[in-house]
Amino acid sequence: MTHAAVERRFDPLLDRMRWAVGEGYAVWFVVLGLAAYATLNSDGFLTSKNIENYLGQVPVLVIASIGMLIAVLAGGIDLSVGAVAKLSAVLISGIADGDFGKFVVAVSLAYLIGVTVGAVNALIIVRFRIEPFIVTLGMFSILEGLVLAYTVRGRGSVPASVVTWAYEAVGPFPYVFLVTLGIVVLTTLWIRSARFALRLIAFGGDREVTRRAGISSTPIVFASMISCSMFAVTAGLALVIRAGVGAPTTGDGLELAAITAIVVGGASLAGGRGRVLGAVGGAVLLTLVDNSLNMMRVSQYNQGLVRGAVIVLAVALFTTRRERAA
Amino acid sequence: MPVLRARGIGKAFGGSRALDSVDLDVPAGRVLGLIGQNGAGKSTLISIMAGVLAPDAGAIEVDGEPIVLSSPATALAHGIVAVYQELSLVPELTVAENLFLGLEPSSGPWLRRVVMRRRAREILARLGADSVAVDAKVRTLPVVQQQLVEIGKALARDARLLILDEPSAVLGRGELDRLCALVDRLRDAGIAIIYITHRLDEVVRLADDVAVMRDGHCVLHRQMAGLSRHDLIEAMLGRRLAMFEPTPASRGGRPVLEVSGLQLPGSSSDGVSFDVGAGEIVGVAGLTGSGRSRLLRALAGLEPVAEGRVTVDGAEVRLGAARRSMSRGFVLVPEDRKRFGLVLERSTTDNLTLSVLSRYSSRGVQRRGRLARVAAGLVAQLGIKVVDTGASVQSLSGGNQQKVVLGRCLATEPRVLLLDEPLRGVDVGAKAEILEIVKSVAARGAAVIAVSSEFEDLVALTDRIMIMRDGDIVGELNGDDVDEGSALAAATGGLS
Repeated sequence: MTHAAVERRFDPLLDRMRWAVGEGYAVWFVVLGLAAYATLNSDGFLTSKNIENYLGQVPVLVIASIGMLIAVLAGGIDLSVGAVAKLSAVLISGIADGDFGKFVVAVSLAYLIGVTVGAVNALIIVRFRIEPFIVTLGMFSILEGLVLAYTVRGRGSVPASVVTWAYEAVGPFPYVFLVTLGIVVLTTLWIRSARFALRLIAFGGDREVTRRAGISSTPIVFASMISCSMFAVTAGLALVIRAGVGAPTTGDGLELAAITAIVVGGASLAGGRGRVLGAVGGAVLLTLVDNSLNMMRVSQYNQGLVRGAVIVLAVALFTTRRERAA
Repeated sequence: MPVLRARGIGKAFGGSRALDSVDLDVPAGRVLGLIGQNGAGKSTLISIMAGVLAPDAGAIEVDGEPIVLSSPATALAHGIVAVYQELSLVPELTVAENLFLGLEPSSGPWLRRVVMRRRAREILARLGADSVAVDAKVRTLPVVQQQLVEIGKALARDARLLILDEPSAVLGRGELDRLCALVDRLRDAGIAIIYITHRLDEVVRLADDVAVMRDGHCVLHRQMAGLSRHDLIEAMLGRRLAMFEPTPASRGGRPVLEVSGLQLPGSSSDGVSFDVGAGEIVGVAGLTGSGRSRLLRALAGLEPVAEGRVTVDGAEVRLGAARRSMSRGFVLVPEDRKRFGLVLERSTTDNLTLSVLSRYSSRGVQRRGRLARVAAGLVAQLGIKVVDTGASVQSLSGGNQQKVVLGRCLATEPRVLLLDEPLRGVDVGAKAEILEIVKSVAARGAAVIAVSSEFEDLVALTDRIMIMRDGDIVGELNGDDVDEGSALAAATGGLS
């Protein structure tokens, strides 16, 4: 500790960069770099059609990542995010069956289920003191089973008017993207200004200290798990209104993508550390990798390889290792 | 009228009496030094006053009002705040956020960050700590400043009785002066303070009153005036003990360790050179950051080395890897024993044998019986007081934990024993025993290097003392030259 203090140099530019890395904002540099590279190496990347397409794809992971960030900030994790999104997508499409009135009912039902799933997760975590990892892994399995019991190939459809809306845009910005932007701004403000958010982060950082400060843990666990599930429902909604039909493969691996996104964005899986803008940057980056690989016509087999390499590289370069700071 | 008056406090755990009818008075604007060996009942006593434990017997009054301290929250509500050795701060939050965690200035559900920062600055100013940035994350602050924030938390909660549990244990000497100034300042502000420490210096320097605990009783409770350090030690031990006598300088035999031009990366010095003979115990003094701990870590292979030549028993050792250093007979007792010295979750036996597992395994399978015998031998040899060697080491006292670390290191049969603050947070009785153990290791022909911030510990332990400043050895004291004034002068760069 003392040596770090002694050797610390006071170079303003370097300090700003360190700050950006420390706060998880550095991922945005990678986003810019990758976009520039894709522009130079593919004809299709920097076209208004692809940009609009990309901005329409981005919301799903961004929304799921914000939810995951809240769970992780509070010292938990939620592996049921993908399954919740999938269940929502399948149910919304199945119940709506092309009818707008039923669609509204189906969406409300999906949120109700989301709240219930989050509350059950939290209840088990608090009541039986089981690790969130295990609880939500079990929940993941149960929900996957429910989805397959409901449909194996996808059922019903989202009303055409909703699908049309999902592809409409102002300039290059799809409505779905603008709504997501609103959600990002609101959560950023909430995390920055709400007393409860501060306590949630404090709890994730050190449970015992927070408890000793007279803050009770139960509301924090419930709020974080329920918010995470509700963001997952929203991600499922964003998926299904563009796909038109909810298939049981919708949202596969979304929880792992969201965890990757927030870690790339500087969050610590130990809890108590992470920024919304970092998590969003991570989600934007991961989606961008997929999009630009398609645009550069990289084969499906090699895509996984490149994606993995980019992720590990980004984490290695742009997340601070806390142990080394000490 | 005292802020806190406790009468006849008793507490038993299972069959053993931790406290037996203890009386205590803490008046406003005075510092009560609370001392005693580990296990004497200090921790139990302050846990009761902080509302963490409920007493079995006795009465507590705050400002003459009888109260029941049923939880930390009620203690807080009566203005009793305890600052523990393990700081209770959230490292990822800022200074201001930590100060007000749980009582954040807010309007409705929203934080009032501007007010929070302003009040944080006011509190830091009261502590004389204006240099601490309220927006800095606590994790980025040095330990001294973290401690200020911790004490600041007490002020934010309007503490009237402040319990400081070994506040100096984590500090270097220069920092100690600042802590003392701070305690004086708080006393002058009319706050009653209970100051728990192992260092008699601090009691003499700070305390207006003193309470000495022994075996669950308060054996001495009076004004400090007229008491000597010897009186305090006797009260703690309940017997007279000859200790802290400098050892007659034993001339080291043939050099075991020879270091020449050892330079750490990024260090501006030309490198350090010295020899340590067989059976010799060399102390290293210096301020925090002078490079004393880095030197030990470099020898243990835990720190990269830029240049230099190191030999053990005449054979050159390439530093830079812990495994290699250990195989050549180096072993380090680290400064932070809880983080780097012990696997806290594991048992005493597991910890004692951790460094020699491969020696007592065949084909990758541990020989549990032999490991248990080795551990039992070390427990007996070092006098480790442990009820169940299979229970996690967390339950041991500081002194016994330190003996476990020492035992693990001795099991490797070291040629060069490196000790970083070996006596920190260890009570007087255990201190004397650890001194004996280290001396016996040296007597068997090993070379020993010890770093300590406590000059009197160095004098008691070592044959000669090297002084480090800015990564360099700037002086050496032995025999009659050994006195704290000249050491401090060399370490700080002169008295002029």
